Amino acid sequence: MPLPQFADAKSVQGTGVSGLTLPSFPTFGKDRALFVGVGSSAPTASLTTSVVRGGSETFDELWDVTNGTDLHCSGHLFQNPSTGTATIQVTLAGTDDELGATVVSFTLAGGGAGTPSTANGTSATPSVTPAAADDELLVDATYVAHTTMTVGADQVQRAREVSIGGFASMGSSTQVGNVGDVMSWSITSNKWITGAVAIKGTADVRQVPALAVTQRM
Amino acid sequence: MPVVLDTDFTRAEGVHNFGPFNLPNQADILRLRLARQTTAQPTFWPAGVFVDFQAQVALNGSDNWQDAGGFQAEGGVRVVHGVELEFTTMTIDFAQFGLGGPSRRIRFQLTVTGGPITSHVGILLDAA
Repeated sequence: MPLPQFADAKSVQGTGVSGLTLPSFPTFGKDRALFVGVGSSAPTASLTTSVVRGGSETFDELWDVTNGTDLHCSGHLFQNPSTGTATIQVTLAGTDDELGATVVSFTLAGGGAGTPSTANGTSATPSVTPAAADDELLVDATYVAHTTMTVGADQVQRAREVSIGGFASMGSSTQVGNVGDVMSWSITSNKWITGAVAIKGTADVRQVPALAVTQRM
Repeated sequence: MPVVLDTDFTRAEGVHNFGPFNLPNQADILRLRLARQTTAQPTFWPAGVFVDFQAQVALNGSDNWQDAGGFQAEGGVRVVHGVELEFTTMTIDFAQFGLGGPSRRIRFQLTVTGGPITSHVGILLDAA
């Protein structure tokens, strides 16, 4: 099966907000998929209520978790968004002190998502290890209580918001499924929360050559 | 940091437009802030009043406006990390959206529900 292809990524951040609108960007290509990561913090952090593109394309929620009470992270997927330009609206259940949102778009990603994994802790290396086949592409959403974050080995940083409210950072990256499946970032030791999932490729449909039959009499 | 807009305002419930404003060529990052109610500013943006703030950018002097991001929030006093939050903010990195270049303009739309709003809006620009 061909590897899903990265197409584009964006991000935005806010403080003291209950929702963010990601800037519009075009989607195009075969078997499109959009992954949205959301991270927020507050004394009692809110879960994500909805992620909607263009007012009507509602994302499926892959995970929506908190680290104790004060950090929150969710991941969302939408298969085959309409081609064209539209904004993505992220809405929390309440108002949080800091909020970051990322979107990563893929093509040749018609196989949906694998089983997501989440993790949280307090350390210098936020990390999660979801299962992925060699021909799948991992994507993560990681939120940390630190003003910056550095993407881990074998990953490509796709979107990152740093110093959210002078307190937090949020990032998304990708990794090909044949290099260990460890999705990590580096920070100065602090609280973090992360989740990741494998994006599956489009089934390989090959043309079978027409069989030429010559009848000999 | 160049300042595009930095002003007190009062608006009734409804939809209100700001701009368009010219963007300096070198600006990459927009920091938008809307003053909240605090002990020092009790008349600003109270609880129960909701805003939806949306930004649009047009490139090369055109009227082709692109959605550049926005936020939704409720007013009222909010204590963050032990201090009252003075501003609800949003940051947009123009570079990542391909919104760079000369002769850019930006405009904003503020939708207010739940009552009128008195506040202070600041639009600050920075280089990456």
